[in-house]
Amino acid sequence: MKKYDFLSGLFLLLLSIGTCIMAYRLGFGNISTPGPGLIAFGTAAILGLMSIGMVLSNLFGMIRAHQQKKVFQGIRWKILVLVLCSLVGYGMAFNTLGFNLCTFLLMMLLLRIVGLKKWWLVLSFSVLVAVATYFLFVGLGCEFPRGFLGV
Amino acid sequence: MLEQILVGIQISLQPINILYCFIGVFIGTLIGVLPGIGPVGAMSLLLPATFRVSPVGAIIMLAGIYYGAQYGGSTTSILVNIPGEASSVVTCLDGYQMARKGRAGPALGISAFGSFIAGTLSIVGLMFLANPLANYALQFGPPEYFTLMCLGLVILTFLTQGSMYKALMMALLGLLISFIGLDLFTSTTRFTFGIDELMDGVGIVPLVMGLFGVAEILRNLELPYEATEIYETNIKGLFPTLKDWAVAKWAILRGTIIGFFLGILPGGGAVLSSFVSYAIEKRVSKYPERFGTGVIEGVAAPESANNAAAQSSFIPLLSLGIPPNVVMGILFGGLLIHGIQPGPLLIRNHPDIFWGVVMSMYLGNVMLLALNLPLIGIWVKVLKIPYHYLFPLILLLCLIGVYSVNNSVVDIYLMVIFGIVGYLMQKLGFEPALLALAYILGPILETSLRQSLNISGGSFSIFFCRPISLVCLLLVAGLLVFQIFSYVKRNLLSPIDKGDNESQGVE
Repeated sequence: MKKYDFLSGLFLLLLSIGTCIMAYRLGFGNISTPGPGLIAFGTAAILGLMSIGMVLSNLFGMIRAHQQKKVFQGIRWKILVLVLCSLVGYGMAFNTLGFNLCTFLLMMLLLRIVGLKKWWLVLSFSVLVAVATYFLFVGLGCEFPRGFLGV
Repeated sequence: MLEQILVGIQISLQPINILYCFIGVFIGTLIGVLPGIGPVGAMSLLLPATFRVSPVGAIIMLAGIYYGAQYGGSTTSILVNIPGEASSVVTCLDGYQMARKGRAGPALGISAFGSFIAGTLSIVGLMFLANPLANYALQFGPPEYFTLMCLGLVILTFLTQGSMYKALMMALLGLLISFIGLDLFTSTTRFTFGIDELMDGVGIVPLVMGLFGVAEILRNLELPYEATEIYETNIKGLFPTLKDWAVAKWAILRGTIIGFFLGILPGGGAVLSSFVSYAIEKRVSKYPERFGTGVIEGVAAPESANNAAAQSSFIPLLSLGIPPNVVMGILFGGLLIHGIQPGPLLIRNHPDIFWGVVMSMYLGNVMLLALNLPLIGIWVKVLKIPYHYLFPLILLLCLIGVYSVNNSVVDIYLMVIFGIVGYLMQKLGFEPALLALAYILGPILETSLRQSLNISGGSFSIFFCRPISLVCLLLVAGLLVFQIFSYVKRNLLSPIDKGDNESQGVE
């Protein structure tokens, strides 16, 4: 855990520095009429200081400690990455393919990712979900793109 | 007040509002039963669907989800030993043991009845406390709001189960995220990186759905799925016996009082109330060693507390305009979306919303009693649905919910980003709830601070010259000093690195 706390602290420190720079460019105004960057700069600065504390304390801890908690042991990274890529792909294809086709493909993909092997089950579930959610949410007043197929 | 109550009853008994109430409590119970998605995720999913609904109907439905989830969470705790909600974790301790002894029925029954009694009493408290508090809050100015927000965030970090240091950092990160978008004072765009969709800032829906919905699904998928074993017990005798009532009645009453007051506190809520109530019940019991073996007080107390807290947490939102926890933060967002400014003037300017929602809570509690007792068999069947069918549906609902806010795919990408962030946060011991609440409170906090400095001509003494503001600041300082002192004491007395004791293997 020390290693991950160190890395987390480092990430937050870099984020704070970047935010401070951007906030400085926005302008501080003056203390009686704070500009758009003042409060953000102050918040980022405090976060940055706390991040430095986290980095330093875990750096010394990493040097001393030999045992660390395995936080990410046994994680099925492939499945997680595939699920996230599916969601991004859904967003990218949404306006082009339309809601129904995108939803159908997404359902199929997600079920196959977790290892569901019966094709007839995957197909029928995906069709059912796509159709049911379409009518449910259109009924609630949502508007979805039809895509180039007009479906 | 009687006239207002009658108006509230009239509004809550409109057929459409009865329908919204039923939908809310039904979905809330379903969410409570299903591990993997909580009321935060569910409310985020349904928030866009409420856009076309009246403000009263929208809040009635969303509120129903929250307190409905408290009822539903106990079902899985008792039958499966898996808490459906965080606020039902403690119920597992004695509830499941009661089920193993063949007393699942009375456990479920006392849970439902205790929740009903606590919820009803809490609503009475809400009715009598909210209005005077709102009138008092009219004296609040920007300095009071700023210090009160700070106090709320610090209390929440203080009460967090993990590291307070990390929790504070997440609160600061949440504030930074809230600064993205257009600055209301100067109309300057901040941290948008040229993306037009970020001009209005990061939406609450993608943020919350990502942090709590997508992240939770990733947590559930990271390890191989194991089918849930439901304790196959013949559920009968849902009505507790007279002996059960004799034992549980004081536990219900104590749980109600504890839950009511803890629910009002910023950072409090159903989760904290259930833990505190269980601890106190064990402390006052003549037979504390029996807790954990299946005593009915161990179910009655936390379930009453979490429901009482769920109702009372509406008080700071509706009377002060300050959401005490993330769930109320979503309701806060819901009110804003409908053009209603939460605050002390809400009750005065929109009495229909306040009294309509309050009266609907009575109705909702009655519906929940009916849903959770006779229909318990249905919920047990729901539990048997394999997760590999559930998670695609939940993800799809997240996607639809996020998209329908602005009809923008950028929100989908934001949700995915926050999903990754939320997942990593959970794995690394950071609190996503703090980030979300700070994000919600950020705009009010910044506005209050800037207005205060404007009023005082740049002097920070304005925060110390006003009594309410001073008290809040002293409490903030006290909590921070206490935490620093505890940390120093712990590390001075125990020079061996505590992290080594928690490790499980060599990397």
